[in-house]
Amino acid sequence: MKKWYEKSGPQADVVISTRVRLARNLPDIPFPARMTQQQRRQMEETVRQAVQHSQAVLEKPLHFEPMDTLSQLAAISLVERHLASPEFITQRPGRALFLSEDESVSVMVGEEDHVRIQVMQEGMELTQAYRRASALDDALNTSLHFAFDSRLGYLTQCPTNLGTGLRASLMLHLPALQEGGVLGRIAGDLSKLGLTLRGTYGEGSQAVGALYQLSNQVSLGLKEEEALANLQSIAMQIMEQERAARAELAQRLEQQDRIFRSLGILRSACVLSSEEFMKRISAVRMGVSTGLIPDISYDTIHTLIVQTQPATMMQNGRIPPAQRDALRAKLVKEALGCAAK
Amino acid sequence: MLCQRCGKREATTHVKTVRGVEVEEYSLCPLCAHELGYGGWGFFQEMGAHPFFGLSHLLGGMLEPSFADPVVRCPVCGASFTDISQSGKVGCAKCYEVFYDQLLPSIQRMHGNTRHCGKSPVGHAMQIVPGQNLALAKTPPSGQEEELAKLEKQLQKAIAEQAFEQAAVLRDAIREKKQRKGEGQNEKMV
Repeated sequence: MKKWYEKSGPQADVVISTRVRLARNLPDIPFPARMTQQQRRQMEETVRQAVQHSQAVLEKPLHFEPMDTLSQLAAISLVERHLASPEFITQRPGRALFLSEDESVSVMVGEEDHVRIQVMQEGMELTQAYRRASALDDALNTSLHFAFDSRLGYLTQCPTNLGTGLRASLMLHLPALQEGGVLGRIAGDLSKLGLTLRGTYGEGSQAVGALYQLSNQVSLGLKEEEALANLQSIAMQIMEQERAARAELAQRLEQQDRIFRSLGILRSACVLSSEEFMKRISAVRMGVSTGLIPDISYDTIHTLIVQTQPATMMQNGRIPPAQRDALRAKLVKEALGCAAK
Repeated sequence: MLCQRCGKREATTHVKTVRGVEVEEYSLCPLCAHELGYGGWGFFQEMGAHPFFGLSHLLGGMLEPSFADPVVRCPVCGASFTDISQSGKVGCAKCYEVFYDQLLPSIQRMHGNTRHCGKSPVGHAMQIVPGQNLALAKTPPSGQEEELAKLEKQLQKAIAEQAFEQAAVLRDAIREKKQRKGEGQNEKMV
């Protein structure tokens, strides 16, 4: 079965993926930062039973990933695949993860909130991703009582998530706007609109390969649909700006040279670091979207981006960095077509 | 402990992050944390540092011990408001009730709003009767539909007359009724 991140969806030239997250808590157990070990076990058990209880009505069956016994590499790979947050994997005992087979649906138990429902989809699919997350929320809610206040909505450990508990994010590829140096100004304007633009792995992370996360900040006083519509309409404006900037850049000889040179390196290199790969694949992706490179699909690029992440590459055992870079170069060559035998 | 980035100010934010295949931990001061994008807690820290907050409490305790208020703690998790403002994390669901008035100004600043208008829970936990393993079904009280229709009519009228305060009260009453009705139906379905 193809994973969600091995495919491409609507507006694929700019939007890599959509993520919708709902934060929920149990009413009678302290929030994770103040839980005792016993309460943590009680929370895990309660949620686990609720998930088992709901399996029959779920769109996709969820299987349990025991976090306690997971290796460090496997845990980091979960972050690389955007299935868990860095915070979630740093303290694994007493935490649990439920995952669908295509990895598009996950439930984090005991992260910043007791329950975090997450749906990932390729391309821009805000409404559909929200519907799926909301259906899972409803299913769990039939056997779990969630902490809710009629004034403040769903109650969360951090008050920034109060209300709907909804955070919707779009992973955007913005090489041309980054090149033009306008993202700082755009990010400033966005914060006034209740949205935020962050690096590839969320809060506090740097942008890798010109990949940025655009998400809503405000969750109280807005309906879910309104928050999604705001995000979508701003995303459309950023997309238009990015497309216009790309079209202009693609006319320039030095940019064409950069794009084809990047493709040449990816197709020929014998050693590729993760940083270099991300930089080159970003240029190639821009070449694909501007029609300069017609024979490479977004699916191929998306699959490679996940496959070549350091921890994901080492699922079957630790490999020294030098060998890792050689393996990465081999994977890339196989996927993009080798320039020379 | 000093901030690992600037080496000047006291570190108050501890960050765990993943770089390559290693998990790294940093201690940062509020300013550096903010610059690196670890935000969201500034509102609370501002309040914690506010002279009228911690200090007045302390002085009050020193000057008139017999009249000083004891520290209010949440009965469920034991958190005080100082705990919440220093960590930026609310202790449990009950804290929102206990410290509602104190939390409200920061919530207003974060969201520009203090009133939820999104989704409500679909139903409560099933009520299992010991030994029977069956859920109790509750029938919604009769006449609920008519009452709702009446309230909705009053709301339309209030809006037409621009009596917005009254409209807000009616809107909340309708929402609550609908919610209760939803719950009733869910329990019935079970």
